[in-house]
Order: sequence, then structure tokens, then C-alpha cells
Amino acid sequence: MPEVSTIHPALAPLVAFGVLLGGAAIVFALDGLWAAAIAGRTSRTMWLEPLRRLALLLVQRPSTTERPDAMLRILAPAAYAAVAAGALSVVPLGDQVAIADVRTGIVMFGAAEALAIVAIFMHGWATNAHLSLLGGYRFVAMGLSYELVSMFVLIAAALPAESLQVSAIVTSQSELWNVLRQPLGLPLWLIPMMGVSFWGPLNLADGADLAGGTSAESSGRQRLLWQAARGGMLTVMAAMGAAAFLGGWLGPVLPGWLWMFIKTLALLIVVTGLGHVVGRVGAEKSMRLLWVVGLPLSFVHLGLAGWEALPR
Amino acid sequence: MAVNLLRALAARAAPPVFVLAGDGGQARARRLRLDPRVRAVDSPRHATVLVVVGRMPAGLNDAAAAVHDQLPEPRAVVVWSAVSPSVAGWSAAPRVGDDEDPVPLIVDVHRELLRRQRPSTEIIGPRTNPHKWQGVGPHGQGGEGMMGGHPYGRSMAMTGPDVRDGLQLDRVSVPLGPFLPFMPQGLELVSELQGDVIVGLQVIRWPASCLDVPPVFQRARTAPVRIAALERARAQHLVEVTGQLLALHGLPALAVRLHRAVKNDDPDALDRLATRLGRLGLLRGATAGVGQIDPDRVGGTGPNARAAGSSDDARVHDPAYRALNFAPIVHQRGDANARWQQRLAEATQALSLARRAGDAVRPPGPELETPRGRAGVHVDWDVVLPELAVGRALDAFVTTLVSLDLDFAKKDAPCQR
Repeated sequence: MPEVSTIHPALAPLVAFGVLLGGAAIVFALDGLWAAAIAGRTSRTMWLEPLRRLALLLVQRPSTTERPDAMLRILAPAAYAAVAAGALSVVPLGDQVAIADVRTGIVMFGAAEALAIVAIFMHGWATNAHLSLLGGYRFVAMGLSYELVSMFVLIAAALPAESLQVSAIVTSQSELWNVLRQPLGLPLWLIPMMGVSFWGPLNLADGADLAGGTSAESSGRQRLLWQAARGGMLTVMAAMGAAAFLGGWLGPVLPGWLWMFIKTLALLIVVTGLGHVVGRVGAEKSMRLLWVVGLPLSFVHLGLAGWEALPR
Repeated sequence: MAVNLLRALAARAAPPVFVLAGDGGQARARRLRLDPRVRAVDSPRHATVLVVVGRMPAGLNDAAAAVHDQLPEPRAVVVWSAVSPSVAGWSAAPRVGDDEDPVPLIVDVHRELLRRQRPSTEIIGPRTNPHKWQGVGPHGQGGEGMMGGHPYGRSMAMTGPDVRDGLQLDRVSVPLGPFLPFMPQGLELVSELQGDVIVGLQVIRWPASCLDVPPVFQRARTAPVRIAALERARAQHLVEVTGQLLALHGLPALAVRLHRAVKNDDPDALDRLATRLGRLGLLRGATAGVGQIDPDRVGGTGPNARAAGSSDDARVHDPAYRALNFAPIVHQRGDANARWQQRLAEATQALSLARRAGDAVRPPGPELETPRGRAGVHVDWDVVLPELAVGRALDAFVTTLVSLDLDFAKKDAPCQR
């Protein structure tokens, strides 16, 4: 077992929420930059536009609907952020440093991911509005599909490491990164990455056809909290992808945390870009694609990883 | 002081607008949503400025007021029409005429709102719900047993047989429209949903009964017009409709890029984008196999028919186009994927035709091919629209409707602006 130092419990919430907020800021900055680049509207001030939108959200008043579930309205973004923080706790953030590098790290990660379904449904339910509810239960219908794919892919990454501990998965990549050893892994990881944070082609919870879905009735700070939690979740999924497939903190010259940052950033750039070029696939169609193509591919991937990991 | 800094920053953001379209305003509303200087949002609660385009009919005043009340403070209304709407307080709202550019006014209004130089508009509708929660039951419950009824005026879910296998599942009534962003504006529906599947559709209100075609096509019926102008207007309409489909599927940046290619009169750029969207599967994945319909049910004419294999195009019989060697483009399959590819291919073809036509003029007389097909084709929408909806998932229905670019006009008269 690798020697992993854990972050002091008193500092852990600061670190976790720092990573979540910082990550969310980067996600929305990247989103704005990609939108400007793809629309062909780059300018010197395009860097400021995400900041201006943040300011607008802070100034706008939060909306109220008729007889909402007030507790759930506050609880939903908090629960989503807490789930993201829980998942982040097992991901090594630097050179053998993690908040809580447990021996069953990927199981903990999967458990946290699964609870995201509850948080997103709460958000859809809370405002007592039809379209929000639709967005919430669409995600519930799809959630299992994303999580099954993520579990198989993570287990395949754990096989060469012979351990469920995420830092062990990272050290098992010291000769060869999993993205090369298990080529299907990272492309398949993009599915839960975009699914659990309902981004881009898998944005069923907050889709434009539902006038914003679970966010249709939110404005101002309320909406900012939900978007921040969502950006944070995407960051956590990217960090896990960096740890499991891109070698985590491993790399020459630069310190471990900087490598983690660069690799996570690379995955975020890819996913935010995909969100602006690949159209949202409808619920029925994506369900079919995930169960008929995605899952069998992940079984094949797991089988190949197992065969490769057999002792010779 | 920090708040002032925030307001100063927010004032310079691209104004988030929610666009309402009345009679004669659908095309301009689509164009405004593709304008990169503003940010068209999906929900009124994400907007600061409510833009009313075209003449708002009196029957939609209550709905327009309800949408206005959903905008969070600070909010304002901008009217882009020759006539002010008759909603209370909007006669004094800042207004631009039909032929002017509304964006500078929208940007100014947004800035003034955030700098507190303009007061936020007040709520128009009632603040409390006039409906009671009690229903017909002895304990105040709604309908049968413990379910059903209309507490607070909203239908509660009630079991009903599933359309596919007769299993008793919950159905909920979901009102859609009249101002849902991607749907035809003014179309008010009540859909019965069982999960995601539409099991019933009732139309409460149809959109404007006037024809919504570009003005140059209206002139072309009785006066000679330059072919280049006609074809450019066609390309613009087709790209705007495709831009709506792109925005519906979460790709507003690509929609803006498509629109720029048309504004810059660049058929090669348009063709390249269309190829990327199709071949790289960027929109193909979202639309292939979705929205398969028999085009004869919705008029049997125009790009919808040509996307399903028909080579019917009025321009083939038009002598003015013979010199340009016009040949209709046809796609097979007839699903949403084929329809947007058909429209983009026709838009590219239209821009090339416009270039080749030079100053050639089309005399009036032969049948005119509008961007939606032959004029004067009437469809019994009361029967056909529920047919398009029932049994489909809600997102597939919305994609189908947007990809079809339907005109629900009952009269042949163009819209009064």
C-alpha cells in the first residue's frame, strides 16, 4: 500500500470546497471561452464575460414559486455539493495527498455518485413546477445507466493495481498510463463525467427543451449555488478521470498537485468543448445507446483489462 | 461599494433576454435569438429583459403578463413592434419600430436597469391564487379516492391506462406554451404525460392565423423581384429555423456560427458547417431516427417532403430558374435528421443560386416555392397535431415540431405588422 498522507480533518472541508468552487469557476470560464470560439465571436473582453454573468447572478433576486418545498430548495444544491465533496475525498489531489484515501476508494466514489440522483431529483421536485419535475425524473430514469458504466470502467482501472484504493491505481500507472493500457477507458469515462453532472449531450435534467428543466424556476443566488455545485461535480469527475487514466500526480519535474491540476484541466477543456458541439440526445435514444452500446463496450473493456492483468 | 462593483460588472454583460413573439413577429424573434450581442435564455426566470416582438393579440395578454411576472427583479420590457401591446403598463415601455435594430435599445435598458437608472417594472398579475385546494370529496380531496381533482387549479396526477400496454400508470397534465421558447409562439397546449410519453394532447389556442413568410416572398406573388433577394431570404429563413433546432439541443454557439455564414453570404462556410454537423454526428446523434412522419400529413410540400424522398419543388417549373440549372435536393428517411440536413443543403444551394443569378429578375405568375413549400396548402391541424404527439416522448415531440417548421395559418393572408 502506498504511503498516503491525509489532509487534516479540520482543513478537509476548506480544501474540498476550495477545489469545488475553484473547479466550478474554471468550468464556467472554459464554457464561456468555448462558446465564444465556436460562435466565431472571440474578442479581448471575452475573458470577462463569465465574470459578468456571475455578477449578474449575484445581483438578480432569487425567484419564488407557488408553495415550493422551501427546505428542499436549499437542501438540493447543498446535497449535490456535499455528494461531490464526498466523492472528491478519495481522489488524490497531489503527491500522495488525499482527504481520505480509503482502501475501498472507488466504492466510496460510486456510492457518492449514486446519491447525486437524489440531490438532482430534490432540485426538480422542490419548486413545485411541472417542467422542473420532468427534468428531475428524467435524470432518475437515466442515472443508473451512467453509474453502471462508471463502475465497470473504474473496476477495470483497479485490476492492474490489484486494489480499490485510488492512490494504488495511480501508482500502478508509473510505467504506463491507463489511457494507453486500457484505451476504451477514458472515452467511456466521458459518459459518466457528462452524465452525473448532466452536461452537454447528456443534459436531460436541465435541458433547453424543458425551458431549463430543474433550473427553470431558479434565478439569482439560488441558481448560482446549483450551477456551482454542478461545476464542482464535473471537476470531481474530471479529477477522478485524471487519477484513474492519466496517471494522477505522476509526472517529471513539476510537483504532483500541479500535474493533477493540468490533467484535470485537460479533461475539463475536452468536456466543456464537447458540450458546445455535440447535441443533446433525447432520453429514449440515449437510454438505448447506453444500454445497447455503452454497457457492452464497458464489459468488453473490463474483460480486456482482466485478461491483460492476468499474471504471466 | 462591493454591490456597486457587482452592478457595474453585471451591467456590461450581454443582456439575458426572453423573447415573446406575437403576430408577424416569429421570424424576427428567431433572428433575435441568434443575435450574438444578446443572450437568449430558455426560461423567463433567467432573463432581465422581456422582448415582445410583433403585435401581441389581446387573447395572449394574460399569458404575456404571467411570463413578465416570472422575470426576477431587476426586470424591464422592450417592445419591437409598430404597435404597443395592450398589457397594463406596457404602452409606456421602450419601443422600436419593426424595421429598426432593437439590440442597442435592449443593451441600454439592461445597463440602466442594473445601474439603478431605470426602475424595475412591477408585477402585473394577481399575487395570490384564486383557486382553492378543496375538491369534491368529503375530506376536501379532489376526485376519485385520494387522487385526481384540481387542487389550487392544477390537475393532480391520476391513473390511466398506458397507451402501449394498458398498464394502469399515473398521468399528469402538463400545460405547454403559449410562449415556450422553441415551440411555435402562441400555441397553447395541454399534454397528458405518462412519464415522458404523451398520451393525450389538447390544443387550447392556435398561433396566429396569418402567414409568416419573409416579406420578399409576399411581394413575389404579384410583383417582379430579383432572384438573388428571394434566394437570400430563403437561405436566411432556413438557417434561422435550423438554428432553433440547434439551440433546442443545447448548441447555441453553433447556431450563431451558422447564422454568421448566411449573413456574410458565404455558401462554402455554410456547407462546411453542415457537413461537420452531419458527418461528425454532432447533431445527427440527437436527431437520427427521431420524428419520423409521413410528410403528406403535414402538407406534402416543401423541405419536409423533399427530406422524405419527394422531388417536388415549384422552382423546377419556374422559367426564371431554368437559366440557373436548378435541380431540387432530396434526402431519404424523412426523420428530423434528414429535415435539418435538407434545410441546410437548400440554404447553401440558395446562396449559390443568389450568387449566380446576378441581377436576374423573376416575373410573377408561376407557382412560388416559399421556404416552407407551396403556398395555399391546408392541413387539418386539429387532427394532425395530436397525431404527431400521442405515443411519442415529449422531447421527441418537441424536436419533431421544431424540425418541421410548421405554419399553422388558417388563412392565406400575410400577417399584419
